[in-house]
Amino acid sequence: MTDGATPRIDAHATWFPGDAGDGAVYHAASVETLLSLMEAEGIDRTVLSPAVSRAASYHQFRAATAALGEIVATHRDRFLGSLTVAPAYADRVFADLANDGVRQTYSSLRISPDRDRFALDDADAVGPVLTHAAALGWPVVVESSFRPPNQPLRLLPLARAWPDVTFVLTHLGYRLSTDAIQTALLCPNVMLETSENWDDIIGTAVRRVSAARVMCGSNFPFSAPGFERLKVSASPWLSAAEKDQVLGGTAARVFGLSV
Amino acid sequence: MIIDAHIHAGPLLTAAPFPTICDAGTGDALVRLMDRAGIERAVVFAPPWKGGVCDPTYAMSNREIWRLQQRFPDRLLGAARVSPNYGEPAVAEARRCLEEYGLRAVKLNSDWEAFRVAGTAVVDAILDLAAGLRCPVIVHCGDAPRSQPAALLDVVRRFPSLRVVLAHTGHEFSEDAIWMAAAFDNVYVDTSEARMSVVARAIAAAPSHKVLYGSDIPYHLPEVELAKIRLLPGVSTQTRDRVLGANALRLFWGEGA
Repeated sequence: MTDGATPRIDAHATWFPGDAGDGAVYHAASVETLLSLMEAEGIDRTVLSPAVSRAASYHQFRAATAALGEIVATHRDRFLGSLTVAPAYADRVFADLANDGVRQTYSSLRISPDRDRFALDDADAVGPVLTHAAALGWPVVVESSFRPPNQPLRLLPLARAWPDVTFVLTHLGYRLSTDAIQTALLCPNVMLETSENWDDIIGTAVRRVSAARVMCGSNFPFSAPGFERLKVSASPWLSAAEKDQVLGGTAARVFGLSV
Repeated sequence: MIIDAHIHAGPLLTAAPFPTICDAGTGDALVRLMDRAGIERAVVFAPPWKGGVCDPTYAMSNREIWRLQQRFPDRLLGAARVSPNYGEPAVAEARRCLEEYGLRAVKLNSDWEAFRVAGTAVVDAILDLAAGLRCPVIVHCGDAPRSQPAALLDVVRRFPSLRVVLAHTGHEFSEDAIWMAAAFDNVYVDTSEARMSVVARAIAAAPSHKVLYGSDIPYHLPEVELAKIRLLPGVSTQTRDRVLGANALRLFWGEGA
């Protein structure tokens, strides 16, 4: 990163300790693979979460948190850790952050309603997670798609009830992009992340919500950083200043990276 | 050689129902866009009609596609777009396009035009015509039940000599589309609007000659849609070249091995 320049940030990636599975573009989703892709694309930092399987146990969450914490500690200048947590284990996982000595490697958290089997608008389930996020001043990355537990409009009551928490809707709502944009328009604390959506939808989101609230992610290892970033950098609908925001400025501000 | 198997062009773009992110409104603009992206040839057809310019039967658009094909014979191959809801005149329009204009493919969108592909006499007549003339049929695939890949199972079984391209690799029903491309000799998929992981899956699971690069110009940028193929890891140069052009060259132009 050049002094004074906006950092280039990948706002959404996942680290898998083993094979990332059939749906992945990069089956060996190793840290080395990601670092080399970041190098090739000029990406300064990546917001990285550990992969956790569906119906994972508390011990699996703890192990994933500890393992990614070590990776981020080794590559502090390249990764921003994003804690993944199921509401059922929230209190214990947050307590472990201090016990396991990895608290300083994390600066945001990610929730996945469909994977962890809760509804995004279930305040009883999500509330305790948000209490921790608010206390730490962390943004909350929310997996969003057309699957019922994850649908973007289900974030509305939470985003309104927690106006001091910044939420990031991943994949721009995926195929429910209109709903994601509406949610962002109704709630100033909701940001939009672009991975797996289309160039025209990203342009529309910037026009309607502003570049200051849209950030580019790769969804590595399920897509390629170079491909996802080209949707922004090649867009004729975005100005140079808007591209700067989407490719890094917005994420730097939201994830607390000093510019 | 890069061949784009999915481009919308013609006068309806001036009243397109969706915003366009690049300019394919005239032949010159389209060819400039293709040159910029390094695309040598393309399959072109009308965009969806929705008011503005009055062309619900696509007759005006098809004439324009014909003119484009005549003006750029080495670059553009025209596909006839028809709306089977118009009954026998739709069959006549398809026949005019394929037999008089010399267009060499057919585009159907059962979602936009709201018709059933399978078991409809008018659609059968259009498919029969295309099969007889060895013209591939490109079928839009989407989320609506009538446009899901499985809605075409009956067609690909009853018309084994008809080559069918499932556009967008079936959209959200990509597993169905990829399965059909693997299971039926006459089924192909195009990569337009498909996620990168879907393209990876199609290349891995379907025969390598069944996957065609497409951009969906002017609704998406060709450079971005090309990057999806170019940046895909673990794909041999031979397979990549097939997807980027050789497969379409054989399917639509009858050229190549």
